Amino acid sequence: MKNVFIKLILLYFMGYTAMSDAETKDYTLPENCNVNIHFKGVNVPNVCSPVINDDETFIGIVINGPGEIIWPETEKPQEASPFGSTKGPVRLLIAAEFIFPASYRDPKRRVKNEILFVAVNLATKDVYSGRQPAFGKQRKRKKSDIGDYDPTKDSDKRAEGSINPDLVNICGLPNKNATYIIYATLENFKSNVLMISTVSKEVDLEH
Amino acid sequence: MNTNNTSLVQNLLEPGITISSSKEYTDSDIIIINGVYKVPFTEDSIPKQQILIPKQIVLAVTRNANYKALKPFSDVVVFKDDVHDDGKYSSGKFTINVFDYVEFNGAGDYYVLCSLGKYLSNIINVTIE
Repeated sequence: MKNVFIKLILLYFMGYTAMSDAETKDYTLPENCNVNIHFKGVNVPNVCSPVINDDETFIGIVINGPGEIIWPETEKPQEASPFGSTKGPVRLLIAAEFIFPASYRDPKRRVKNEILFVAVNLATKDVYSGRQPAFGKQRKRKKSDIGDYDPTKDSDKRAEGSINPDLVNICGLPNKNATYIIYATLENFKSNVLMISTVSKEVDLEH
Repeated sequence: MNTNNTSLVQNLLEPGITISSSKEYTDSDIIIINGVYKVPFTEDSIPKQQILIPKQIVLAVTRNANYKALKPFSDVVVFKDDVHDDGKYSSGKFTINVFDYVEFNGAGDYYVLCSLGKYLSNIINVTIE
C-alpha cells in the first residue's frame, strides 16, 4: 500500500489529477489518457500507465490507452527505431503493467516480447495481433529482460515490469476509421479489455 | 462433446464466453475447443443483428513463439437456429478444431483464448507431447 501511495503522489505532481480514473479493486486506469503524448520509452512507465492497487497480491497484466485517437489520413506509420520506439502521428501506444510469477524471471525468457497484444475490429472480420520484438542487444542478452532470477534466493520475487507497445507497429493496424477491442495475453494470463476508436481524417499538422 | 456443451451452458449464468477442451479429442492433429456464449443485445461491442454475433467470435492461440488470432466463423453461414434469443441476451454454442485455423502444430504447450466483443473467455492450456 505504501508503494501505491507513493506512486499516486508522484502521478499527482505529474498532472494526474486532471484526469479521471477507472478504478477496480485491483488497479486504477488513468482515463482519457493519450499514451502517444506521454510516451517516454517502450519499457518506461508514464502518466497513463495502470496503477496496480495492491502490488503484493496482484498477479497478471493490465493495459491502458485512449478512448479515441485521431490520425492524419495522408500519413503512414514509421518504422521502429533500433530500440523499438516509433515516432510520427500514426501510432497507437498502449501502456501496460504486469506482475507475473517469479518463475517468469527465467534468464532464458523474454517476457516483454512474449506478451501477445490482440486488436479486434468490431465491424469487420479483421483481427490484428503481435508482440513487441526484441531489438539489438536484447537478442543476445544472457539475462532475463526483467532482471536476474536465482531460484535459490528469489522464489518470492515476482516478475514486474512495464511495456508500451505501438499497436500500429507490432500488429499492423491500418490508418483507417475503426473501433477495436484490445487485450493482451500471456500463457494463462489475460488483461482487461479496452475499446479504442481510430479516426483517420484530414488534419493540419502545422497548427 | 454434447455433455460438455450442456454443462457449459448451464454454468454460464453471467454474460460472457466460456470454453473447454476435450482431452479425448486432443492429439498432435486435433485440439477441439467447445464454447458457449451469452451476451446482451445492449452491449456496444456486440452486433445488434443476432446472426452476426457468432461471426465476431475471436480465437487466439499461442505456442511459444507462434501465435495466431482470427475470427474463425467470419465467413461461416449462420442460421437463426444457431443462436438463441431470450429477449435480453443472445446465446449460442460453438466448436473449433484449433488446427483448422493455425499454421503451426506439433508438440508443445498451447494456450487458447476466445473473445466476443468485450468479453474474454477463460484460457485453455493444452499440452501435446
